[in-house]
Amino acid sequence: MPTEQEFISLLNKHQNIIHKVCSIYMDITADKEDLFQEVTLQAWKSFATFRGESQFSTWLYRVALNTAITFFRKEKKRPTIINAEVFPETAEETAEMEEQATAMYKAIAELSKIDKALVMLYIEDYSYHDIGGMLGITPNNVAVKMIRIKSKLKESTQKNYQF
Amino acid sequence: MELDELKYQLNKKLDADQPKSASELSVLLKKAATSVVQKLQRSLRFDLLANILVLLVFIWEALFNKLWSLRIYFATFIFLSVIALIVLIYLIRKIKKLNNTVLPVKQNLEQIYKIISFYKVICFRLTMLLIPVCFTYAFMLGYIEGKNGTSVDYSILLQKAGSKIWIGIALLLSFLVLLGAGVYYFTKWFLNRLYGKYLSQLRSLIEELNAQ
Repeated sequence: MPTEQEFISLLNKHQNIIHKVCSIYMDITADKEDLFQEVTLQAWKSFATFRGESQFSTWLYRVALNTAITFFRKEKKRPTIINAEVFPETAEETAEMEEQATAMYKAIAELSKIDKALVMLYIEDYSYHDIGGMLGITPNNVAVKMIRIKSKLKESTQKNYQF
Repeated sequence: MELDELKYQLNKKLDADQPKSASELSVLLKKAATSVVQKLQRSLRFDLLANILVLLVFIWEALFNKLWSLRIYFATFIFLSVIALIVLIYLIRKIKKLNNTVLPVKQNLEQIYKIISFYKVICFRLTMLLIPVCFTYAFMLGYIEGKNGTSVDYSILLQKAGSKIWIGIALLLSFLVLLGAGVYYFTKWFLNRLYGKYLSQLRSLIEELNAQ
């Protein structure tokens, strides 16, 4: 029987996964906090069945994506604001790179929940086979969807970012 | 500008939130979940408890009520409550199993969709079943017992009504039809308000995953 201490220690090491999922799915701090709590609770509930067959990080990704995708907030009428708090600048980045990344981020924010999950796992360097396993679709389907998403992102970033 | 060129920057940006301490994480584990499935599970547990209490009352009434028509009436409700009890236990077990397993996203969505759809259908059917049981069946039982002279004597009522009996029957039937239609539309509207939007969102997510 896994202990709470064991779980918290593992979660502490991998909590960046939950932060990433919350950042990609929610644009307001309060919503991010709610989703973080929900993912943490869901992970704790399922932790007893984690047998270490896959890596904890992969398992946590699956829990986080399942929770985020089925987590619906009551629709609030508000524009999607991409602010500095959401994308803090880092010293090593050039201003141009920062602008490009922000434009890409805005484009990702407009994607559907499923497409966001695909992008998230793709930028984490998971193979199409692993992404397919996590989403429950074939690697071929992942490849087809990624081609479509990449072209969609390219198109919308070109609109948002002036070269 | 391609997604691949910005992988590193995006990953870093997504990772920018302040990490939580172990004690903050521990506090989170004590809070209640707010997802639709968790809320449904809490509501089902409450329904289960209420159902058991009501069942005990029905058993008492079915055994000890002075009127035999009410004894049969409550015995019928015992039967309905037992069906509801089985359904509630089945759904709670299903949700518990879903909570304890980490399925791939598509299968997880399909499972949630199945559970909520089943709950919606069964709630609707049981509510609709209550209309004939509560009114037609109860009226018949009361009438038979009244005729036998034990308590309610409907025949006196019918004699007094005389030729106006058809108006009475028409009014009664109209009341039943209106009540039936009211309950039908209200239940449909209420269940749709609770779960309709969520179900259609789940369905579109499943369709999106299936699409090539």
